[in-house]
Amino acid sequence: MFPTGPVRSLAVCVPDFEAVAVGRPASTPVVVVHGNRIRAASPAARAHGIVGGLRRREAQSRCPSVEVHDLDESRDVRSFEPVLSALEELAPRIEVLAPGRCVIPTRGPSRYHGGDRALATLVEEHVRSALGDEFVCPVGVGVADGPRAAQLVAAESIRTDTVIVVPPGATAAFLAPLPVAQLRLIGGGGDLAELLGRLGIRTLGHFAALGAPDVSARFGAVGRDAHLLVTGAGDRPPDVVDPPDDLRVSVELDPPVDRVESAAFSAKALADELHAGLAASGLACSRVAVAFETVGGDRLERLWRDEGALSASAMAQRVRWQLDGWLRSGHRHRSTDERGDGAIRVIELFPDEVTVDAGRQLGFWGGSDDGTERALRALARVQGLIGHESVLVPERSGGRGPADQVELVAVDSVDVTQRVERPAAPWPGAMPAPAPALVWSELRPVEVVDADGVGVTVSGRGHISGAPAQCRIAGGAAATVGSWAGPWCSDERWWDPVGHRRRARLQVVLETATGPTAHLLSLESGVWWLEATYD
Amino acid sequence: MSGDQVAALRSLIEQVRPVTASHERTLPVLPALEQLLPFRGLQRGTMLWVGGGPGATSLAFGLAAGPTQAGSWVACVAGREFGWASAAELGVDLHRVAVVRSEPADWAAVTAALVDAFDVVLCGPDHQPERTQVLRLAARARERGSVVVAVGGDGRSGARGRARPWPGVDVRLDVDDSSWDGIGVGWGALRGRQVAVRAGGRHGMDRTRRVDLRLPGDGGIEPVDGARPPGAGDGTSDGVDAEVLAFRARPA
Repeated sequence: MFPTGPVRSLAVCVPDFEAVAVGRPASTPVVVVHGNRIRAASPAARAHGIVGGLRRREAQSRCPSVEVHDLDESRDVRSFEPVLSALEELAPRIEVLAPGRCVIPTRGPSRYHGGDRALATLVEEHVRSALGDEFVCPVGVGVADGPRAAQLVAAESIRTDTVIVVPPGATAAFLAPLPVAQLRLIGGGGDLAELLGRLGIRTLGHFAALGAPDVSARFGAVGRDAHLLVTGAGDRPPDVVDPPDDLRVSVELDPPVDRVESAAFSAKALADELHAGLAASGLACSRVAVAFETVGGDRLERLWRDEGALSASAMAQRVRWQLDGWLRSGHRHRSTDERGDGAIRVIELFPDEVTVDAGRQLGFWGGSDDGTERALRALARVQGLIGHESVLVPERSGGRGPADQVELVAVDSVDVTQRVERPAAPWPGAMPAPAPALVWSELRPVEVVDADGVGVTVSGRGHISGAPAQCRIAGGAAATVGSWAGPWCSDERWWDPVGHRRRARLQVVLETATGPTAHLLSLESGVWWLEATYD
Repeated sequence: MSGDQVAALRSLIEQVRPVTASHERTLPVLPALEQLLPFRGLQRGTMLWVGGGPGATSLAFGLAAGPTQAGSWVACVAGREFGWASAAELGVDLHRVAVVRSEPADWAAVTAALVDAFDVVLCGPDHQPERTQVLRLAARARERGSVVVAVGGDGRSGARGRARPWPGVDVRLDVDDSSWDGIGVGWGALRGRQVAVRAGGRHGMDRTRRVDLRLPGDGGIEPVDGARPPGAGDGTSDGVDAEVLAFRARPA
């Protein structure tokens, strides 16, 4: 049985862990971008006024020298793995929320290490040394009654830059002066925090002062859980039940695998099976344990917690994270590696904490439909065949050139069922519509000459030296230029010594055997390139 | 055959026709493209080839546009160079598109997996499949009721020339006689293009018909203003005729 009171917990929070995971020196400003918005920024970038949620361009205008990286979850997990290994020396049970955030129940470890404060100080030291000396990033460590309260305390500890240990029973008093915006740190609390702010409730203390029945009636299950948290009445949602034993699922891999893709494919099926089992019992899982067994007999078990309920795809994602950390970070034991038996033989999933499934409200305008579900299943299968970075979806992004306007992103990095179309902002200097139907991934040089056979150039002021008369693509046959237009000049990122590009683009229609063919040529550093074709 | 015999036969046809005739299982296409296709849509379980001169890729995007707007998913393989900004301009809903980048060796396995679940699978010119691979894919598409659109664009290089048409396709579309407007000698910019598409194939498509299109026009794909009326001219047949022909061609 579960203990009845809140589980005293320690939370570790490394803000902007995604930026830390990139692995650049602390002096380099680094941002990690997801969906054109800043997801994380290194302290050096923060010093330039870059905050989360900014648009990529805005961040670049605040700090022109900033390095922009795309979000890469497997990189984040690989970088977090050493931290987790370091923490495993202190405490046997670690619940991972996401890369950069984890929770440790303190009852046993605190007794062993001599109290909550001693444990918290040790944890902070271990995290810092695991991250390495070159990363001078804030680390938040907080101890409080219950895992969610501990996360709020850890966030507060980043602000004050000290380890905070809230004495037992004093959690509500500690939380009271914090702003309600902090509720966004706990599952599903973002909307609630915004709503409370608009209703004039500024601090968690004001929220706690509301009557529980009123909160329940007005803000539903999310409001009720948050209210229990801030009043200190209990950190565990009241509908947590003991996980049934028969929901443990496992798969034996024969032959054993040491590639993430093939193991992740089996894991997806396993997650689906577990999810179906839970759904049949009317349960949802908020903490799942993922265990691997290797050929050499090693066992790695890890707990993954989510404040909401873990969906089947979220579980599969956690398994893939763990696989990434295990197979790619070099964490597996050297001895087994040398014997070549570090391959994974068994994957096991079992729910560690389940709640009564409150159901999921589908969007009024229809959420994911049957066709989308089918498509996603097929894509998961293809990912299993050829790797998950090979399955992409187009996403609009800004840019002047034809290749910049739509970028292909990994299907795992977007929520395919709830995609939002960002309004297309005008790009000054962009090529006029129509866009070319073929955009060449390998550029080929083009020889462009005028009627006298002299190479055509474009001056710094955007004047073309002569009318193009003939083009020869990559040393092929010369073709006559029927008509042409341009040049369109662009001088992009002139402030950046590395990313600076000056280009002039020209549209030409060539007379070929198959008919007039329109191409987009671009002149860069004195050479014309075939950039795209209007096929 | 006398008039009432024909009428009797027609009523018999009505009585014995299956609940869902195969030509009713179609995916909608853009209005401008209806004339190109038997039954005015992409018939499920068929394979199309889009080739010819410049404009083939745009026409393939146009074919994919209608299904995505109606909520179908489109997968694309072996189309590394496809410009998705252009696809979006031609009406493709990019939220219903998945792009798979596979090695040629994986092509058959990947397309087979995609055909199982996607309504339309767009096969680009980066990989030239073997005849047996194509036939196997066609059989699988027929069984699963999805549409395979093979694009014989310029391929990876203009030097290699246009790709060979696939064997055994149901509908073959060839783009011809393209001409650009809006661009002059040193002035203007590419604005629109007029092309002629020759459509042929099996099942009601045995007579080649020719349709003029603006690909693209000012607002996506448009029929050419003042184009010759359907049914007139060089062997063109209008939609009604095509259906009659299809009745004749449908196996008993």
